[in-house]
Parts: sequence; structure tokens; C-alpha cells
Amino acid sequence: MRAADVQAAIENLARADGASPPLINHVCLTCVQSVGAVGVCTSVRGPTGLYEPLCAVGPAGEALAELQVTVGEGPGWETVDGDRPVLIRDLDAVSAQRRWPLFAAAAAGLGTATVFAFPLLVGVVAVGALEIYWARRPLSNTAFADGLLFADAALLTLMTGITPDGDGADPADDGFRAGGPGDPFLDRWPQVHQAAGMVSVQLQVEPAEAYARLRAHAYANDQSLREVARRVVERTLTFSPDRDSE
Amino acid sequence: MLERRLGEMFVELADTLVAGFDVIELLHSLCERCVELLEVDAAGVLLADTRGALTLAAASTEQVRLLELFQLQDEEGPCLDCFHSGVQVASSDLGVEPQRWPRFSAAARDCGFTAVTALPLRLRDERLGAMNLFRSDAGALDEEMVRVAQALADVAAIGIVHERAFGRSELVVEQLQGALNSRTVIEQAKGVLAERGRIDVSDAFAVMRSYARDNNRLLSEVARAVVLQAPEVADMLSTKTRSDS
Repeated sequence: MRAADVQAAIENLARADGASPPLINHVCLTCVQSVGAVGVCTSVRGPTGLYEPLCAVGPAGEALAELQVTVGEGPGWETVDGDRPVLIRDLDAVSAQRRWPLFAAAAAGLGTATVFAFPLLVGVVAVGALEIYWARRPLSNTAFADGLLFADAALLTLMTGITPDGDGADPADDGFRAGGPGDPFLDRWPQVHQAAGMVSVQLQVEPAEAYARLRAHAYANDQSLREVARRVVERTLTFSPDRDSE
Repeated sequence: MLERRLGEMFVELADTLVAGFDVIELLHSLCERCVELLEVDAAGVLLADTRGALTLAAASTEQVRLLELFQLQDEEGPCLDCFHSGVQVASSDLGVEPQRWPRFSAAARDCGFTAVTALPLRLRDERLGAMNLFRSDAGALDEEMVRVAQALADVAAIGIVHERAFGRSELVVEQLQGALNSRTVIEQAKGVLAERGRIDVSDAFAVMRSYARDNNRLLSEVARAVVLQAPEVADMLSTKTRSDS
């Protein structure tokens, strides 16, 4: 019964948005509303590592996804790496700080207290993660069960989004359809990879290393990774083998 | 004796569910054990492919292999009836007229078989195939033996379903990951091309797309070449310069 309710709520939202079948942002938006969260993020394994963000919603969602990419650790990484849920009731606790020295404190600083991360499991392999962040600790008893249902819905959406024949010749069909056009996170995120491509030429390194340099720059200068990427693409920030120059 | 060998047989079938599992291996072993343990002289298995068409999967002897193929070609025989109905089918004497499968019966007798029992390979509602047990002498197969054979077939069916589900999930993971990887590589390639050609990212995409079209190649493939800094990147950019001037 509950599973049917979740699916119906997602489909209603998608219909109101003119989408059928639902896209990943419809799953995340329904989730953030129905469980009273401050952020919901979905990510997948990508060529750049275990955590390639796909969608982030809620007041803290985008910042949390970006933070995890920047510091390279957090519940999303861990749930995909271990193929099992990661449930942290108190991000401010010493145990959480020890687990993720960079992520935990910064996430608490973004106003989150509790996180449940669920692997998107196909057979025995986690292809991605769904994370739910809450601002306060007292959760409903159904939070865990709901999280599992939304993780299932997210996986279903991703699998329906595969268009095996798409090769990207048509920008609207690159072999995968995740979110609707106009999704603020999905629209801007690709710039991070474009910037990595540009920096790889500037530094004469592989895109993966360029990506690491971008993340390091963002972290060291306490800037948002998307902001750093935007400046690279607009050519107001270039990297040189010795130092980054404005 | 039979009990101990049966125990070993179930262990052997269950073992196929672990790493290195192979369906054909499993069905061969099923045929061989049936001949060894039950009062039958030969055994063969037909398996349905993903579209539901039956193919020969295993046979204990060359004669049975030919007989099974004969059933498929001629579209009549106990194995086919068993597969389509999902229930056991048997004939205790293929020499008695009138025959349900006249052409099959003649072919079976030519091979020296007089009795046949066909058992379904199924898991719940899913019909996977069927197993034929042949005997040289006329007479119905002992009920106890039929039960044992069906139990062995049921264990084999679990193995087949398990393997198919696993194969499907691997394919899905592959497709999903492939699509997402292409997407990222295309973005990286836009950046590489933009930086090398001192052009806008959106122009870089247009260059890649028209290069892919002109050379009849996939955009994702061209993007990969760009990211790897293949020599053809220079061609792409020079084409762009020419068309601009």
C-alpha cells in the first residue's frame, strides 16, 4: 500500500510537470516533501568516481551534493562503495566527524543533523545513491522504509531513462534522460566537466586529474565548485602548471 | 545407495549456483545424473530462449541429441507438448498404434527407445523448457523415479532463472553506466576543444557534432577521441577555421 502511495505521488508530480514517465527530479522532489527533509540528492557511479551527482533538491540539497564531490567523501560515496545503506543520526557527533573529517562538519554547518543514504541496487551492484538529509533528529518511524521506497523509485526512473540507441548526436538524447529541462542543478552541473576538459589542456593532464585540481581549488579557496567551473568556462580563471592565476 | 547418490546430486546442482556457473554445464550434469541414478537409458533437455523458442541445451548421448533436434525440426514430440502444456507427458510404449507423435515415435524406435517421459523445467509460472527421459524397454517409469527426476529438474530450473536474472542486471548496469559515461566525456570534450581552439564551449559542441555527422561517427566516439587528444582534433579545428573564413 505504502509503495503504491509513493509511486502515485511521484507520478502526480510528474504529470503536473508534463512528464511521463517521471524523471529523477520528480522522485527527489516528492521525497523531500513527503519525508520533511532539507535535502535529497541522487548520484550515480561515473567515469570520475563513485559519486556523480544527478539531482539535488531542497534548501540544502545542491550544496550537499557539491560538497561531497569537492571533498570526495560522504554518505553518498560510502553507500555506493559498500553496496549498503549508511545511516547517520547525528552528523555533529565525534563518530561522524571521524568517519568523514571534511564532510561531516561542513554538512552540519549547512544545517543538517541526520542523513540516510541508500544504494540504488541492481542485483548486487550499487549503480548510485539516494541521500536524504534532515535538519533535526527526531524522525518518524517510517523514515527508513520510505527511504527504501524512494530509492527503488529512483532506480526505476534511471533504468527507464536509458535509451540504448542514443549516442548524443541529438542534444536531447545522449543515451540517457534523467531530469527535465529547467532543472537548476542538472542544467549547471555539466559545466564542471567542461571546465575539467579546459583545465586538462591548460595543465596538459588527463581530465580526471584536471577535475581533482578544480576540486582542490574550490576547497582551498572555500568556493563553490560550480562557481569555480563557471569562471574557468568564462575564462576569468585559468590554471597553470605552477599556480592558478586569476 | 540411491539416496546417497541423490544427496550428492543435489549438492552438485546447488554448487552450480555459485561463482563460475554455466547453464549448459548444469543441464549436461542433470542429463548424466538422471541416466546414472534413475532407470532410464538416455536424457535430453530443450530450453526456451528469451523469445520463447526452444533449442537443444543438453543430451546424454549423440542419439538423443539427434532425436531432440528431430522434435524441434518436425515440431512434434513429448518434449514440445510438455513445454507448451507445462505438465508431465509420457508414453510407455512408442510401438503401440495409434501414436500421438507418429514421426517422432518412428525416429525414437529407430534409435532403440521404446518409452519416453517428458518433465517440465519451470519455476512458478515461468516455463523454461523440458527434459526427456528415454528407455529402451517398454513400460511406465516408476512413480518414485518420476518424482526424483522432477525434483532434479526443479533445482536446475532455479539455477537457470537465477542466472538469467543476474545476466539481465549486468546488462542494465552496463547500459546505464555507458550512457552516463558518454555524457560526462562529451562535456569534457567540449572543454578540451574550446580550450585548444580558443572558442566557446557551445561552439565546440557544434564543431564536434558536425565532425561526427560528416564522418558518419557517433558523437560519443568523437568526444572520446577529443579527450584523448587524438590527432584528428586538429582536423576538427581546422575545418572550423575554414568554414568561418
